[in-house]
Amino acid sequence: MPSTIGRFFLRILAWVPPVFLAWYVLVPLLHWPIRWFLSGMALLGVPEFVTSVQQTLHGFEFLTNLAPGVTPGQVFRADATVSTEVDARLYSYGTALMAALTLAAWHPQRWRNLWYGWLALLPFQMLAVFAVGMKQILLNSGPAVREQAEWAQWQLETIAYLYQFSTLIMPPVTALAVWFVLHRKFVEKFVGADVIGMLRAADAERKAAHAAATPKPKRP
Amino acid sequence: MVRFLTLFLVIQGVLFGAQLHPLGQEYFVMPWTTGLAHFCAQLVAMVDPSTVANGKILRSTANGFAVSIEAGCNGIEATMVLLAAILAFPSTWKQKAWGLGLGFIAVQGLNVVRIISLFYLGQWNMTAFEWAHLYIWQALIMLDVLIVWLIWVRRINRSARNAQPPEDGGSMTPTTPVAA
Repeated sequence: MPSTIGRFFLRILAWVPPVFLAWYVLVPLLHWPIRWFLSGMALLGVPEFVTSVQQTLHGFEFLTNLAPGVTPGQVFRADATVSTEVDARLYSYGTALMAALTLAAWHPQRWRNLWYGWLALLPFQMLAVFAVGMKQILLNSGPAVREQAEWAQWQLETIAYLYQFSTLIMPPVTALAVWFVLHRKFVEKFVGADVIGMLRAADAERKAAHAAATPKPKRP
Repeated sequence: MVRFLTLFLVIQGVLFGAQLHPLGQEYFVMPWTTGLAHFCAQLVAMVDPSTVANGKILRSTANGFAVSIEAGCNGIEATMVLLAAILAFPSTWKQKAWGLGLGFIAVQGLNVVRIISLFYLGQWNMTAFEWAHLYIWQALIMLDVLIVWLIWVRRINRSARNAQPPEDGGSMTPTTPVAA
């Protein structure tokens, strides 16, 4: 186990190349539960226009029953439908980051933590892939497609926001947060105190101060 | 714990929404990104005079290679995450202020290294550029945020411990009854 933050950081840098390479090779396997979940949603008709979700080498393809409409310069067959492919690696590299941190920490239960970490990150990755798929179908495929889907403006705005958040912030932040929770004791060594314990103590202190400041109702 | 998580998510969500808003883009994101491109160009020009900045684009006049600094590469999101984590953590305003000041320098400093390294990596090999751009640097910048935040929490914890009166030996009043 590394003894200082500096050494820990160097160990992370050493682990990053092999872990990211391993993740890149294992991507189809690691993405498998996402496909299972998204296909299940499509089977249940959520959202109603997605007919199926297929896994590709690096991501997922959303097939829909929406017609492409009229696009200047493009001719479609009468039975053409809209489909889109999402490169899920852009939203799942947090798994590799979490793994690099876990291996750099060299916790006695590192394999268990890797397993838990991967599982904990899956819902965020599913949400990101779903948001990106919806964004590509509803916001990039033209007004004719949007009209057929009949989504309200606020739903489209939510998808646009989720897409941005999923792309720019969610993958690394969720990976760091999951690692942090799984390595609470390890972090305590660097910080000199249990950070989660500090937060709980601050909450309790605030509650006690609030209770002391609030006068108790008198009985008539 | 619940308060920290709620505050962290709310601050981050509001700041992220604000910078996505057209006004946020026009008056903050674009000027910041343009300034960053010019700063990087001036830094690089010290050793490589063929580097110039046009708006948010960093370009080599020698071979025509250029990188455009887009959302996610200007360090704004990473700074927002650090800001949310520091503001949400229970501490004094003075502690928050110096944490934000030093954290901002650490995050933006590393981001300048990222932009310049990607600029040269792209001129050398596009596959390496894609890898570093899409995965490695994204991860390292947020890792920088985590390390800065942990160092800041450690400093707060130390100062809180130093401010507390010693538990034994230093007290003026006896902690156990003394027989007269």
